[in-house]
Amino acid sequence: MNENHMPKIVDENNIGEYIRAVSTILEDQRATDIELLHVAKLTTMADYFIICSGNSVTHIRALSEAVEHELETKFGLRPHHIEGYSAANWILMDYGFLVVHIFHRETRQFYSLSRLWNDPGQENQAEGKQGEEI
Amino acid sequence: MRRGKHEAGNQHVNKPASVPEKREETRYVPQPKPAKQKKRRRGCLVVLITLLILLIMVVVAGFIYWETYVKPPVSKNNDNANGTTVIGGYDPENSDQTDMPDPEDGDSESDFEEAVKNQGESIEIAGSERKDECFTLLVVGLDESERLTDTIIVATFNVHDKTVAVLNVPRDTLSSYNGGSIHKINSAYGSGGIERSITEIQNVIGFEIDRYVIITYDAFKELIDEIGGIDIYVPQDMYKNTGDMIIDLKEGQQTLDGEHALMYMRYRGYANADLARIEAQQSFYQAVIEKIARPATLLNLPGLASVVMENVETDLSVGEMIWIGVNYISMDTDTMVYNTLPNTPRYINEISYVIPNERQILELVNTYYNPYVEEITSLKLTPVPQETSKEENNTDEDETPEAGVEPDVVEDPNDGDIEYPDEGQDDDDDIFWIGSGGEDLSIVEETGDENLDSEGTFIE
Repeated sequence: MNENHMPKIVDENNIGEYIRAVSTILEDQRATDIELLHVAKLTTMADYFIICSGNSVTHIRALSEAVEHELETKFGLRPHHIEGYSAANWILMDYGFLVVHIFHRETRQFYSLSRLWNDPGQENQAEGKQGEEI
Repeated sequence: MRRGKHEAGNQHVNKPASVPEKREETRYVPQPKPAKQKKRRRGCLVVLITLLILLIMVVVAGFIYWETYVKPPVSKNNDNANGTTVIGGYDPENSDQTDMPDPEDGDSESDFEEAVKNQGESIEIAGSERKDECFTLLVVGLDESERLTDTIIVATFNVHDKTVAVLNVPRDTLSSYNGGSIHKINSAYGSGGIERSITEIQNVIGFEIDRYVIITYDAFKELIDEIGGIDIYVPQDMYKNTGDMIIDLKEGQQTLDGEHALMYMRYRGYANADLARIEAQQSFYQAVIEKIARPATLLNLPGLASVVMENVETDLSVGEMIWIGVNYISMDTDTMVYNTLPNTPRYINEISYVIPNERQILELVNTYYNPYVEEITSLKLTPVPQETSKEENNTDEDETPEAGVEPDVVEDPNDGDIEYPDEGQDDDDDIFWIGSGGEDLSIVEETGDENLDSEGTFIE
């Protein structure tokens, strides 16, 4: 996978556009339980988390590839890291300002990351809904 | 006129006037006791008083002991609440100086400089103030050789919430010591004892370990037998020849003795390896806690204690062990969190390792295991060498040969086929698309996957 690529410098004015693009592609690819969390005040490692679920190993990998393809072709963005691709129970895509977590729907219950990050800053959560205007 | 005593109605006996009767006064005159009886009573009194004093002394001593020694393990960094913690790297104050090249011994200064450089930077966790009432414990299980740590478990106890989070570190985790040659983390114990194991484990988890427990296979079996076995549901038939043990268990609810409990814990051949193994081990820990908490087991504490003292090596004090036992035996096992260190299986020089996934580990650690007030932002992971032959796509990383051990026959659960989606059969909406409708097959070629739907038809 495309790991350890130097990412293009993120245009902070376009962060909302990036996030909307990711949310849209995940929805198009039938990801479920898509959550957008604003975690800037809770962690130094990212400003936003997008968490979603896939139904199978192949689906999860497909979601990861779709996000990577979308951000690279539209905005020239590449991830710092992609972790967990081979096992594909939990794929983490690190774009610096944004981390995309793609879980197998069963695995997501084990990790429950949103439990920690479930702050009032959480933007929305619902199956397949897009994020609010940022 | 004197009336006679015998007037009508008067029942008194008529007596002739005579000398009035002399009443004899009776009074109690204590009789002197025999000397022997006196002595016996005094003796009883002395004994009673002595016993009472002894009882009071025991109660007071027990109270003092309880208040003084029975308490949670104190984190090592509590004396340095506002300082920094060194995780990994070379700490001159605490390292064995004999490990370092010494110019006075004939080693060149360049060797010295090289060694210092190779030991890398220490991770200073800025403001690594510890959370109150939070401590960490390492439990390692040694294999038959007692040189390899077959099981590595790190637990974070939150005393305030009475919660425990357990993290399983795979034995094949890529590691190195002070920048030296790479090896699997399970071999650190055989090279440098528990201290080296702790150092390398701390590198991959990002926080310090306060206490450790070392247990052997034999001790594990004896402990399970001592509590009368474990009542558990075995989720599937289990059969495997590990080389030093033949695992043979049947599916179903049953009581496992020590020998069979060890089989259960060592089995790795689940269909959905990660999730099923996590569930199975979580069920085991819950079953152990439930069994220990039973009154019949508690009555056998002396036997348990004997087995523990003979077979377990630990730096927990007796008071700390008692404290853990008292406080956590009755905890709700449903609140226990159990995870495996996120990793990617990979072959390096034809040897199978698992590579820690740093970001995923940091997410998990900061969510469940971090004993510090501030979040942990980096780990000291061993860099993956460039000479990687292939990436292992088998999620069951433990079914691979260890270095120096004759490899078992590795069963590929996929048997070389692409893993087809199975959950989609039940959901008409579970139609997924490889790529966002694009034609970028380079991604597919890199990964080796094929664009196949559930029926094996190529999807563009």
